Amino acid sequence: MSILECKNLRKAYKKGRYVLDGLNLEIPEGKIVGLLGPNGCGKSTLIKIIAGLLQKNSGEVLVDGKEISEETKAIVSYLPERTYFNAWMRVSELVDYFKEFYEDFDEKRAYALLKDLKIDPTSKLKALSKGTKEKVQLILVMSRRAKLYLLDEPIAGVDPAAREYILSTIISNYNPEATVIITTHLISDVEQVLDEYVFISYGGKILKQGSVDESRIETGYSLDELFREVFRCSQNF
Amino acid sequence: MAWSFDKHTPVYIQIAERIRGGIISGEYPPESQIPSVRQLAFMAAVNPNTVQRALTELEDEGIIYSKGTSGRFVTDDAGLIDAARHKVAKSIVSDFVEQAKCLGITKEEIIRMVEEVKE
Amino acid sequence: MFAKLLKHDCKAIFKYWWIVSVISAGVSLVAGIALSIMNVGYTAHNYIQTAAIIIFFFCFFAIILLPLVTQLLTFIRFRKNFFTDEGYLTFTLPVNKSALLGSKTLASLIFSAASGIVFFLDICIVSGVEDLDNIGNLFYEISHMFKNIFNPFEWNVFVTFILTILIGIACAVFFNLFIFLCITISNMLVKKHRLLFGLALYYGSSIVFVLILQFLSSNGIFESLMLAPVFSEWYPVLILFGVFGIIAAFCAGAYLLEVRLLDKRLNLE
Repeated sequence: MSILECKNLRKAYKKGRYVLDGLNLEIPEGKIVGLLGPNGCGKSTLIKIIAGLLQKNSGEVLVDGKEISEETKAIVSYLPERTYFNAWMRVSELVDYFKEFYEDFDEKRAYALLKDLKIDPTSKLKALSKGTKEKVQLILVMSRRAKLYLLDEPIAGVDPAAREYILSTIISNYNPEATVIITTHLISDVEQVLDEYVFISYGGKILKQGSVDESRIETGYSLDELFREVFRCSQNF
Repeated sequence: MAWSFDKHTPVYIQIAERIRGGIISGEYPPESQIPSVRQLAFMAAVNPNTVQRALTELEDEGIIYSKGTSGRFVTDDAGLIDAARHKVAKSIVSDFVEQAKCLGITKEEIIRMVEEVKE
Repeated sequence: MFAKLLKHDCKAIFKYWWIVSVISAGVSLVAGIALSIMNVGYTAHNYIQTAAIIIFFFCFFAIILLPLVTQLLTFIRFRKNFFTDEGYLTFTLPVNKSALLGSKTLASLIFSAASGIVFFLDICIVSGVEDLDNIGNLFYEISHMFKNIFNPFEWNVFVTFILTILIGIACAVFFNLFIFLCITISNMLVKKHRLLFGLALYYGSSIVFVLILQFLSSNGIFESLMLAPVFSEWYPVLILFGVFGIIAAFCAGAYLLEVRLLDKRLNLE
C-alpha cells in the first residue's frame, strides 16, 4: 500500500510558470525516502501541498488513500524549513499545544529528548539559539507517532555535529511502520539513512526512483554520484 | 560517533560485514546476544530497515539466530564461525595479494615481509 | 477541537489585553482625580485647573480607545496566527477551517464584551473618585431606566430590547468577519503592502456600503418602511427582526466566504 500517491499533479505560482508540471509519484509505507533534487525544483512545493499549506492547481494527491484534509493532517507530521511557533511561548507550553491537538503525540518521548539536549522546558522559545529552536521543532515533530513524516531540508544550514544529532533523532524516533520523506539537496549527508530515493528535477520531473541498496549494487556509485550523473544527463536535452 | 561507511557498497552489506567481523573476532562470543535493531541503527546512524536487512542476511547464513522477541543471538556452532573466519581471511589475503601483485611485488617478498611484520 | 482553539486564542489575546485593561483603569483613576480637581474649582490656581482639564480630556480619549485597542489585538492575532510563519503550524493542525475561524470570531466577541465591562468599570472609577456616592447614583439611574422600560411589562417592548442587543452582537460579529475577510483577501492577492491594501479594501467597502444606504434612503425606502400605515404595536419588532435577519445573513455570507477562501485559496509561502 502506498502512503502517498500523486497523479498528474500541477502547481503554478504565476500564470504559466508551473513549479510542478504533471508529477506522478508513489511512495510506499514503512520506508525512509529521500526526495532529492536541486534548489527550486519543486520539492518544498510538493511537501507543502501534501501538508495542506498550498493548493494544487490540478491532479490528485492522496495520503493513505485520502485527499488532503484534517484527516490526513492528523496522520502527517510536518517539519518545515522555518520555525513556526510563537516565540513568546515556553517550551513546555508548546509541548502541551502539540499534546492537545495531536492524539498521536508522545509527550514522554518529547521530554526525554529535550532532557537529552539539556533544554529547560520552562525556558521561553525566544531565548533559545536558532539551532536549539530548530532542534525543539524537530523533537516535537518526531515525537508524534504519525504515518507520514515530511521533513523539509532538515539539515540545510546546520553544522556537522548538529547534522548527526538530527539524523540520529530521526532514525531513533520515527514510528517504524511509518514513512519518512526527507527532502534535501545535501545527498551525501543523508545517503546512509535512506531506504529509497527519488531524484526530482525542475518542474517536478521524476528522473529516477528506486532503492538505495540496489542502485549501489547495480551501479557501484554512491547516491550522490548517481544523482550528479542522472541530473547531468537530464540537462543535456 | 557513527560508523563510517563506504558509499559505493550498500550499507546493509557493510553492516553485515561489521557484525560478522565482531563475531569472528570474539567481540560477540557464541551464544551471546547481539544489540537490537534499534541499538545498532543508533550506533551506526542508519535506518532500522537497513539493519534489519543486514541481520536477515546473517540469519540466512546461520551465524546468528533469532529467539523470538528475546532478540538475536550468536550461534554456538564453532564450525560455522570458523568457516566464516576462514572465508573473510581468504578474501582479505587474496585482495592483498592482488594489490601487491599489481605493484610487482613477488610472492616470496610478500611472505618475507609478513614474517617481519608479525606482532 | 473548537474548545481547544478557543482556549488558545483567548489566552493569546488575554496576554496583552489584561495590560491594556489595567492601564485603562489607571488612566480612569487619573481622570477621576482630574475631574475632582476641576469640580472643586481652585480659582487661585488657574493653571492647576487648566492642567486638570487637559489631563481629563487625554484620559477620556484613552479610555474610549480601550475597546478599539482590544479589537486591534484581535485582528493582529488573526493575521499573525494565519498569515505569518505561525500559519505553518495553524494550518497543519487537524482542524477544519470552520473551527479555526469560529474560534477567532468567538474570542473576539468575548473580549469585546469584556472590554465593555471594563469600560463601564472605568466610568465608575472616574465618577467614583470624586465621590463614592456617584457610583451608587449611576447604578440607581441605570436600574431606574430598566424599571421604566419594563414596568408595566409589555412583550413587544421586551422583545424590542432583546432584538436590539442581538442586532448589536450581530453587528460586532459582522464587523469582525469583515475585517478578517479584508486581511485574508489582502494576504492572498498581494505580496507587498498588504496592510495598505487591506485598509483600502476596508475603507473602500465601507464607502460603497454607505453610498448604497444613502441611495436607498434617498429613494424613500426607509421612509416608507417607517411610516407604513401598519398600526400594530408589533410593527417595530418586525422591522428590527428584519434588520437582524439582514445582518445575520451578511454574517453568514462573510463566514462562508472566508471559510471557502481558506479552504480553496490558501497558499502559504
